[in-house]
Amino acid sequence: MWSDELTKVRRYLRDPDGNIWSDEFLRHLWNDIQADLQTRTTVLEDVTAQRVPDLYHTSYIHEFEWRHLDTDFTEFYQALRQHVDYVVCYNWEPQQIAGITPDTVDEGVHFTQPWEAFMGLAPGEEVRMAFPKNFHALKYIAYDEEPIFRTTRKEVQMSDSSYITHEGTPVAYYMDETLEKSYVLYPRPSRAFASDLLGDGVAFYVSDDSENEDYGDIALRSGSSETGQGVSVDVVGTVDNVLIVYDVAPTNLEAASDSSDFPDFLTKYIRFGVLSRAYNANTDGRIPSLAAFWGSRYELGVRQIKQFMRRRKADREYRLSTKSESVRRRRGLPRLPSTYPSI
Amino acid sequence: MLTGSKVREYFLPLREGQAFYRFSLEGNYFGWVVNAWNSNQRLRLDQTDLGKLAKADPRWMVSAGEPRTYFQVGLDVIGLYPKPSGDTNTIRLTIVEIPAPYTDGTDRVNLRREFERAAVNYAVSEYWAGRGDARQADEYMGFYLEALGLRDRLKDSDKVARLYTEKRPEGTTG
Repeated sequence: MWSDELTKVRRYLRDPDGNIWSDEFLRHLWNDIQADLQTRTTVLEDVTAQRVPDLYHTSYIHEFEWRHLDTDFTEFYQALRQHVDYVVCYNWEPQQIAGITPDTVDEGVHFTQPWEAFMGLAPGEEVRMAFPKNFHALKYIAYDEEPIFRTTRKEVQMSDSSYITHEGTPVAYYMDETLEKSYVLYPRPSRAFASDLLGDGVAFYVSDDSENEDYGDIALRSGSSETGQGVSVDVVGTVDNVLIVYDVAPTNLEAASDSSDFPDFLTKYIRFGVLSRAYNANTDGRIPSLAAFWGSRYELGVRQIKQFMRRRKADREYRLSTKSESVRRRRGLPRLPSTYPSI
Repeated sequence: MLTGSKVREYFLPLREGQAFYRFSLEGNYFGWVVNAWNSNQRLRLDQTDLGKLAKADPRWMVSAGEPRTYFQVGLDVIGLYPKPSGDTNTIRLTIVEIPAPYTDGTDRVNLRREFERAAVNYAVSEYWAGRGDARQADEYMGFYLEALGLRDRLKDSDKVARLYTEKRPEGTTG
């Protein structure tokens, strides 16, 4: 927890009552250093399986609603489209607002939650999927166990005028240019987990699966062993889902009860960086020698983490060779006899 | 984190069609895998990575059979290729663990004896740093790195002389 880390930092700063460095200042330093550590080492990466369609805690339509959303939840979907002071569903509605005869056709129906797009009617807009909240950069993506390639909306629109209603097995994805980090599968998947739902009414869970409340992806699948001594194993489901392997952007700490995305054995390196910057700050507590010491400990930590990353690949098969040796083997080209007439 | 002192062996019961397994070790942290053994096949699994797999076989997630290779993703996920075709096998994984913080005076020390002196120097360095004496703290940090044999590699030199290595060409490993 941040409150525990703050106590440790204050102990090393010898400022337990916060007379020199404020809590907010140290928290900002912590968030900055953890981002720097991740950028330099990329030690945090994750793999997750996402359902199609993606699940959101809440949807909203107007911009002003965002500040009133429940802070206990993280996944929000902004539905429909803004037009003047209104939110509109269908393409003909702006015509109505402008006083023109409403006659524009639409591709299909519109929805406020993405799962509604898979309820039997053709949707009239793209179905967005949100990247995980702590997503930074994509390393690998696959749909239903087959890799899909990255494209752009421009390329899709230029090659397929029916791209919104086109459905099938996704072969590509393109990024959606909104504030939330999200993407769109192309073509729209013809199969969704909504087809597997059990029970009456609208259910959100496939039998034997449970959800990760924070990110809306699969937390446990039937066959996982959640508890027990020694080791517990969580099975990551890939069939009919989007599998994403990605670099993590560490989440900023905000409250005293927040925990860092870094495991405990790495948080001490962040602490070293915080101490270095705090001692270097232009305050009454400035001590250049301690700033240099903690700075060197932080740099040492970065190197240690990089070495730790190399250890994880130590079991791979390597073939030693000298630097000067050519790796590529060149094949000799067939040569014509010297007596062959020149052109 | 780097000494690899605490090594333990775990069994991973395979599930049909499941290529990815997330580990949660009781108390400790997942470090890295040093050995993986396919019990049924009596076969050592080779280590690979996502990039190599995707290049060699874009449909690698579809293939099922007896796992021949493994790879690590992030801090706690193990992937297998090909994914298991049945529930009838177990992979024996030898894992370097990173010990959790000690909580009691009777806790077992999770460090080889030759590194215990290094741990003492580390603690003394922290003590001096906490007292505000950077010179003493730096001196004992040097002793710590020296005892680990990491001083040259990590502290005094950024450039480490090492052999140039080249991965084995595609298709020559199992």
